[in-house]
Amino acid sequence: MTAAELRYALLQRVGEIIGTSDTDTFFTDAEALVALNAAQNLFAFATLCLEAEGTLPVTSGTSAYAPATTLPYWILPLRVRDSSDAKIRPATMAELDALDPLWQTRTGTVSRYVNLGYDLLYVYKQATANLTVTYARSPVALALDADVPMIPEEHHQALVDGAIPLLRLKEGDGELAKTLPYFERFVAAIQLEAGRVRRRNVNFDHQPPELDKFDLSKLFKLRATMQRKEANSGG
Amino acid sequence: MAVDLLTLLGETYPALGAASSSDLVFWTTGALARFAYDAGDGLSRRVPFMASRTTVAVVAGTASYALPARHVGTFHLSVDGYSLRPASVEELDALDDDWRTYADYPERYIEGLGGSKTVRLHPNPIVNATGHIAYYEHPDDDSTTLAVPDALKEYYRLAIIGGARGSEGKGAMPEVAAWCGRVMGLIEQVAAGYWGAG
Repeated sequence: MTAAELRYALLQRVGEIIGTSDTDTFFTDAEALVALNAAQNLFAFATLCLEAEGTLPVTSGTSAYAPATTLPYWILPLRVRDSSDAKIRPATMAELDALDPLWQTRTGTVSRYVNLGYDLLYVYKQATANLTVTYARSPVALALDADVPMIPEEHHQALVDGAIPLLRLKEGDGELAKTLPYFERFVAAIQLEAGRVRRRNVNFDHQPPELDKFDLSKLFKLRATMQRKEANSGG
Repeated sequence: MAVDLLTLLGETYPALGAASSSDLVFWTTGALARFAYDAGDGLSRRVPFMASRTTVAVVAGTASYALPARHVGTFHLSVDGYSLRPASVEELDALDDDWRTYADYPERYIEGLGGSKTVRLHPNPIVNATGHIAYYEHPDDDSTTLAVPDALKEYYRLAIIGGARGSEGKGAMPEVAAWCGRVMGLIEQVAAGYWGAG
């Protein structure tokens, strides 16, 4: 589905009048696009379904690198290989300390990497080489009508489900509460795709989380006590 | 990647019933920005996603060194390539009554001694050396460019909406604030799975 189609579907679902001479809008095209992009961003982050491959140049004399500077839309590494296609295994700082007390200055063939936080990657040993990095990435935001979401096409409709409550945030209360089943469907799509990614990428260094283990019950209901009481107008 | 706070605020105004900053009725742009900064600060302390590194010039006879301004926690500290182990005052008191004056090649480090944002090496260094510290920090809240991954953009957006709607006043929507907080909690759990819990 294109951005235009998704936006139309979303605005139709929230009751925005389309195709008439009435020009008054409560939800604008821009708001709809922001909500769709937010849903796509969340989907890609929770499933790691988008992958990219890039080259990370490393040089002897340097053990630490900022991969996000070189590899666009970086989230985290999935697989790192050297120029001979040999796998470079993930490790922790403690493991490297146990392996080699001077690991931060040791030169040789790169054999391990440590990923710290979002944008700090250490290699052991130091060498001048090009590493091939397969990494999870964020999607490019939808901007033009013809843009197509990067996530798998079967989940494009789920973006509408995820965007509806984000649009309804400005109304809150009962209007938001009514849309939460859509968000539940959106999260179910995330769980489905994340499971598929875990099976597909079983040999990768990072996996998406199993949302089944999270307590999601409170995401799909609003506490009645927190909703504002309707005015005594019979409504 | 970086998230431009002003662009993010512009995308968030409609959820707060405004077309632009001049339409905001119950909040100021500064207050909304503060919600974003505070959310990022809190997240960075619970999930060490903002990793960084720096070098420290170790001077013979000097045991304490200032930590970076936005330092939250340390992943790893080494001197001339040799890793140091974290320690506590209690451990060192048990090890040696005179640990404060003992000088040799550093083997351990203590952070936050006396509540200060410093790291103290033990033993006291006897030669000049180069220290390397890998640490995690909180975002810079004086900048409108948030040096955070694109993937966390929605966390900030929800923090702004949730913070605004959770504030007391005529714009309050506690149910919106609560739901935003729950989705933020989900994002935080996912982030912790990728980047480790602090």
